[in-house]
Order: sequence, then C-alpha cells, then structure tokens
Amino acid sequence: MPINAKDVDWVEEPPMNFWEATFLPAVVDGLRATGHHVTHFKPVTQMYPEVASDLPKHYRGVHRLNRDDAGRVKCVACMMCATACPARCIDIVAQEAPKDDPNWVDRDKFPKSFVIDELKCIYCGMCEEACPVDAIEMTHIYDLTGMTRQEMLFDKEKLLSVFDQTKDCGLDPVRTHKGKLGPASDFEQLPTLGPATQVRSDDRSAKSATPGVIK
Amino acid sequence: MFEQVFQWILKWLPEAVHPYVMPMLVIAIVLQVNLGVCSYLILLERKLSAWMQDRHGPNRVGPMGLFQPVADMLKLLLKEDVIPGHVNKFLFVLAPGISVFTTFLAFAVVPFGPVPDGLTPGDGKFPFIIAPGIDLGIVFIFAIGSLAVYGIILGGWASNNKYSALGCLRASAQVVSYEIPLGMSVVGLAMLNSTMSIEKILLNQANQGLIGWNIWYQPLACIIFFIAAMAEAQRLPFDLAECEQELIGGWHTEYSAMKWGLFFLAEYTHVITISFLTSILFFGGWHFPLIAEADSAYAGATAVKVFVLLSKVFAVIIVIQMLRWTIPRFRFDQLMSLAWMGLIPLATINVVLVMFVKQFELNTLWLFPLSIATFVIAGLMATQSSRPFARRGPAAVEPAAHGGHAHAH
Amino acid sequence: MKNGALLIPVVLGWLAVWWMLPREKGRSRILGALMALGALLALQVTFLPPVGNVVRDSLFYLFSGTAILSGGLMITDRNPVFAALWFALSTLAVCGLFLLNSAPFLSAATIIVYAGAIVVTFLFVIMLAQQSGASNYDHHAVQPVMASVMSFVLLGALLFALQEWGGIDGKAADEVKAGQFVAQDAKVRANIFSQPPSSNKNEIGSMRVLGRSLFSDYLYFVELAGTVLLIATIGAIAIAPRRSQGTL
Repeated sequence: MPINAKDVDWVEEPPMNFWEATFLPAVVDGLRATGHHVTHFKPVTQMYPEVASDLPKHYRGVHRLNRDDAGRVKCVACMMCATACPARCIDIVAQEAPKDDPNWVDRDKFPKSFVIDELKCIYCGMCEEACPVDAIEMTHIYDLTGMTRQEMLFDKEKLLSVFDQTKDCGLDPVRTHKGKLGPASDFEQLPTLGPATQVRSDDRSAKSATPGVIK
Repeated sequence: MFEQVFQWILKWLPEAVHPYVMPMLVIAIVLQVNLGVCSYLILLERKLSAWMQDRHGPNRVGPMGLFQPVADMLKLLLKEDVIPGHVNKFLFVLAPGISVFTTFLAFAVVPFGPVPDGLTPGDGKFPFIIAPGIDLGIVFIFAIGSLAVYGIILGGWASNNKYSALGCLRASAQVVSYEIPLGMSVVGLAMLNSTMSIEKILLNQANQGLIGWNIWYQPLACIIFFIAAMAEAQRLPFDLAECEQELIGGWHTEYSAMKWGLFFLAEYTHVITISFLTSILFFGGWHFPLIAEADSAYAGATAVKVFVLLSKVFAVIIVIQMLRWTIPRFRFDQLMSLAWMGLIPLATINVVLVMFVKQFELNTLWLFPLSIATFVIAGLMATQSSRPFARRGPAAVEPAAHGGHAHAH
Repeated sequence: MKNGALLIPVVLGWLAVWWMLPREKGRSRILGALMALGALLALQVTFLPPVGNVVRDSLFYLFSGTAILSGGLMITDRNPVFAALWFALSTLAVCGLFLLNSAPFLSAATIIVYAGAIVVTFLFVIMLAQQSGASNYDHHAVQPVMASVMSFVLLGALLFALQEWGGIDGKAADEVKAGQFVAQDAKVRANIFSQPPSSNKNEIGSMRVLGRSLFSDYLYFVELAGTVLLIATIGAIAIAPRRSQGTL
C-alpha cells in the first residue's frame, strides 16, 4: 500500500546564510574544534594494564557463589538461574540435603555440582536477578583468561573461591535482587549500600507495595 | 664536499653510465625517504586522530609509540597474503603496483629543495629533483595522476566483489570529475608565470620575495586546487571510494597484507605530492622572508631552504590530516555538484580574470580582490540556491503538507 | 613493382587479425600470433629506422611493439574490460613514442584525455552495463571480413604514402637524430603570425612553441574544432533527459 501523502513528514533542510554557503568559515570553525582537542589534550582512555580501570558499580563480571554465615554454599539448587539463563551456560545437579547432618538441617536441597561455562556466558546478569536467595552474583573480575576451554568451566569450588576472593574488597558487596530480600536471605534487613540494589524512584518496582522495598 | 665525493665516485665508473649516476642516486634517496616518511605519516595520522578524539593513540611500541611503523610494516609483510579464489588474479596483483608506480612517478618533477641553475648530468650538483628541466611539470603530474585511478578501478573490478565494484565506480566518476578543476586551477598560475615548469614557478615567486607568493594572486585557485587534489587523492572528506561505513573499504575490500599496504603507501605518497605542490605553487616553495631569500648565499642556505620547504609541506600535511576528522564525508551527489557546479565554474572565472588582468596589463595584485569578490559572489549565489528544495523544485509536494514542519528540525 | 613488397606485411597482418577476431569457435592463437609476427618482421624490413642511439632505439622498439601488440589484442580480446585496458596500454605506448620525438605536451595531453578520461569512462560504462559477465555480442565479431579488410586497406595506403615520402626510410636520418621525424614546412615558416622556430633544440615541442603554432598557424582549425565541440555539447544537453520529465 502506498504511503498517504498526508502521512509524510517533509523535513526541509534549513536555508544557509552567506557564511554557511561559502563553506570555508564552517571548515575553519571545525578545524578550530578539532585543533582544540589536540592542544587541550585530555584523554579519556585509561592506560589499562598500568592503571586499573575505573569500573562502574554495576559492572557484571565473573560469577560467584555466595556462602552463608556457616560457610555453606547459599545456593538451594532451585534451578531458577539455569532457567533464566538465555545462554544456557549454567548446569546444576541438585542433591537432597542430608537431614541427619546438623549442618544441613535447615535446607532441603543443595547443589551437588554447579558449573558455569564462562565462555558461553553473555554476562547479562539474569541469573543474579533470578536467584531467590542471592546465592549467585556477578563480581568485578573481568580479566578472565585460560589456556583451555575446560578450565573456563567454573565449578562450585571455583565459584565459591571467587566469593572468598571478592567478598571483602568493597567492590562486590552481597547484593539483593531488585531491592527485595529473598526468602532465604540471611540479612535481617536490606543493606543500604550498593548501586545494584538501588531502585530509581521512577522505576515501577519502587512503587510496589511489597514490604522490604528500599525507597 | 658532496661534489668532490661524487666526482671521486664517478672516476670508478665507466664513462657511459655517468649521466645516469646522479638520477639513480636521487631516485634511491627519494624512494627511501618517502617510504620512511610515509610510514611515519601513518603514525602521525593515527596519533592526530587519537588526540582529536581524546585518546592516546598507538603508544606501546617503543617510546611514545615511535616504533609503531616498524611493527606495522612487519605485520604487513608477515601477514598471510590472501588472494581470493574468485578474483582475476593478474589484475588483482597488478592493481596495487599501478597505484604505487603512478604516485611515485608523479613525484619525479616535484622539486624538494632549491634546484641549482644550469644543471648538467654528471656535474655533481645535487639537483633536488628527480627530473630537472621538465618544461611541463604540472601537466606531467596531472597526466600521471589521471593514470592513478587505474589502480583503483582494476583493483575494484578484479576483486569481483560488489563493495569493490561500487567503490571503483565511485572512484572513477570522482577522479574524472575532479581532474577538471584541478587542471583549471593551475591554468591561471601558468599564465601569470608564463610557464608550466614547477621549478620556474617556484623561482618566480622566490625572486619577488614575500609579495611574489602566488597565494596573493590566486587565492581562489589555491582553494580549488587544494580541494580537487584532496579529492584526487581520495582523502577524507572525499573518500567515497573506500568509505568504511558503507563499502567495507571499497576497492581494497579483498586486499590483505602488503598488497593492501601498497595501496596505503600510494595514498600517503599522493598526500605528500599534493602537499609539496600546494606549498610550491602557492606558498613560495623554499622561499621565506629574511632567512631563505633567492639571493641568500650564507653557509648552509641550501639546508635552510630545504628545511623551510619541508616545514611548509609538513604544515599542509597536518591540515589535510586534521580535515579528516573535521569535515564529514560528502554524499555522492554533493560531491559531484561541488565539482561541476562549484569548482569548475569558479576555476573558469578565475582563468578569465587572469586573462583580463594580463590583457589590459593591470597590476597583477588586482587579482587578489577580484578573486575574493568572485568567491563572495559565488557564496551569495549559493545562499540563493540552498533554499529548501520543496520551494525550489517542481510542485511535486503540496505546500500544506510540509508547512507545519518547517521548524521541525 | 617498387612498392609491391608492402603487400606482404599488409596481407599477413590482415590474415592475422581476421584469424584472431572473436568467433563462436576459438581458433588457434598460435597460428594468428605467428602470422602477426611475420607481418611485423616483413614491415620491419621495409621500414627500418636508422640505427642511432642504443637507448633510443630500444625504447622505440619497446614502445612501438607494445602499441602494435596491444592494439591487436584490443581488437581480438573477447573480454571488453581487457579490450579497454589494451586500448589504454596502446595509448600509453603511443605517448611514449611522442615523448621520444620531443613532444612532451602532446604525450601528456594524450595521457590525460585518452588514458585518464576516455578509457576510464569506457571501463565505467562496461562495469555498469555488464555486471553479470560478457554478453553474447562480445563473443563474435559482427563483420570480421569487411572490417578487417577496410582497416588494412587504410593501413596499406598509409604505409604506401610513408614509403613514397620516405621520411623514415633512412633519407632523413639527420632529422631523426635531431629529434623529429617531420621536417618543418617552408610554408608554415612563412606565416606572418608564427615566430621563427627557435634555434635552441630544447625548445622544439615545448609548450611555448606548440602554443604559438596552434594559435597562429592552425588558428582556423583550433577554432573549428572548438565550435564542433561546442555544438556537440549543446546537442548532448538537448538530448539528455530532463529531471522534470521524471527520468533522472
């Protein structure tokens, strides 16, 4: 179907004045602008290996598996992260918690194995959003290298060790998702820090009536 | 000193080759210096681009990144040289060669220092030009420059790739169009100086001092020449033939390794040549008031003159490289209308003005206000013609449809 | 017959070109090449330029050989792009001959006009028109016999005139060495507008002499050519479709 002539927006180019029509003043003006950048040189590039780069607070790097106060893995093997993952890089094998062990008396399940393929992962943060117990979180570690694909498959121990490395560095506080405390969270109340937990006042979730929302 | 060494070398050579020794020496020097300068111009361009965009630019290889050209060259030489299966192999290999050959050949008539008088082959004076005494230097450069487009056309066609084909079609139309204003802009110079030899035009300016610089007589021609030469060299903002955003690289899409490097070498040699031409034809060449006059004969005057010329050339190169990030690329119809509706009429009027002044034997300085007036009038006419096209063109659009959007932008 | 020997290269050359012209079925290229070589050798016996400077002679043979060879290949090549390129090469070789004969301006102007503009336009059109490869009419010549006969009759006439006049035949060897094939005509010198030709050998073929000659001795022809070009331009503008007619 042809477009109706009434629906066409005709945007006219603005008429040029004399100086614009001769082009040269505009060229000189542009040269002054580019020249100013050369003479007043203030680079925004960071000299990466020498200078640690200044990452934003919500940077999404390598995952970690949080521990609770008892040092156990916080994950309850609910598979929500694996379900949410668009890249399907999370592989969890759940195991029933040993009921006779006093350490596990408050848990139904725990992950027998928890493997994230860091090469498949697209670092979108959906797993972090999906996790009901704040067990999986993303850290500021970005310089991830390995010699083989095999060693880029991060298993439970590795992910827990990432937590041990990063929990005290200040950049990666234990977060919550969308400003709500998860049901199995070991916080009594929400920590007041961490931009990832902040909800902008114009966000829909900020106006939700659910208790535990940070205002 | 140089002459004695040269004569001593000649003694060891057979008589028959004596006339060829000095040209060969100059060619060798020019080639080597040019290769080095080109690679460092690429570094300079990368650095300048970076500074203009608030980046650091290449700074890892050597101090301040000064060895980056070496690394680049090594990379180009050691990279896999891919010749795709669907190309016309002969022309594919030939094309970068033509590009480099023509641009180097054009440099043969460009003086890069004070050319001594009365040169004879084998007298041991360093000529500062590969081919001294060519009567039609400028025409020669244009002739060779018009051949340079073959490198692009053949490379693009032989690549058998739609981006390359589009690039080389654009290039051929562009080069053929911009040859006309390029040639016309120097016709005025040739008439004023009664010669087409680049050396003689330079000497004419130097003999008259600062007031003899052609920029005072031909400011309009200088602008036209500079614009057209940039278009001939396919430099931004006229690089529609390679145009990374639309054409992936245009005619050199399929090229890799040193063949690609040769195209780049050709482009930078072209930039050097047009910078030399601009500074020699319009800005007095090696002449500079007080320190490098035509009759200055103090020790080291030659070196100072070479230095002055190279400084001017360097300044022009800097301007060319700054323009790269200053002006956005033209659209193709704008490119064509700039040549055919802007530069060619202006160049023609400029030639007519020179004829007028020469015929009525006015003071040639009249050409300065006349050129400026021409430019101003052209600007006023452009103001008229740049009215919104809906009002200017045929009544295809009813005025009511766009009346309300006149200030939408 | 004095000029009978001329028939051999002309007929041989005609045979070679006729044999090699594009056809539905390919013919032996070697046979054509042999005939062409024979023609060139026979021609070379008749029109041998005087032996002078080694460098100059070798350059002459290089340029003239390239010109003839690429001219023949231009006619016989089936690929139109290559034909255009052979044309360009032929033009360049002829420009080299101009340079050898102290006509640098003519050479440069020919390069600019032919190699730089016209062949580029040819290539432009060929690339635009034949994006899907060579078309049917590139595979065979339309009238191979008539076309080649006519052209070689012309060539024969040219060769005959050259031999009768004898400019290259060793008689005018001094002139050749001085850098020109054609001795200046007495009538041209008598023109009141033309300056006496410069005694300086370097001035021959220079822009100054050429311009003076063009605008005094050949003024009518220059004006006539200019008028023809102007009429052609006006005609082109008149024929070309207008934007208002919706075709452009």
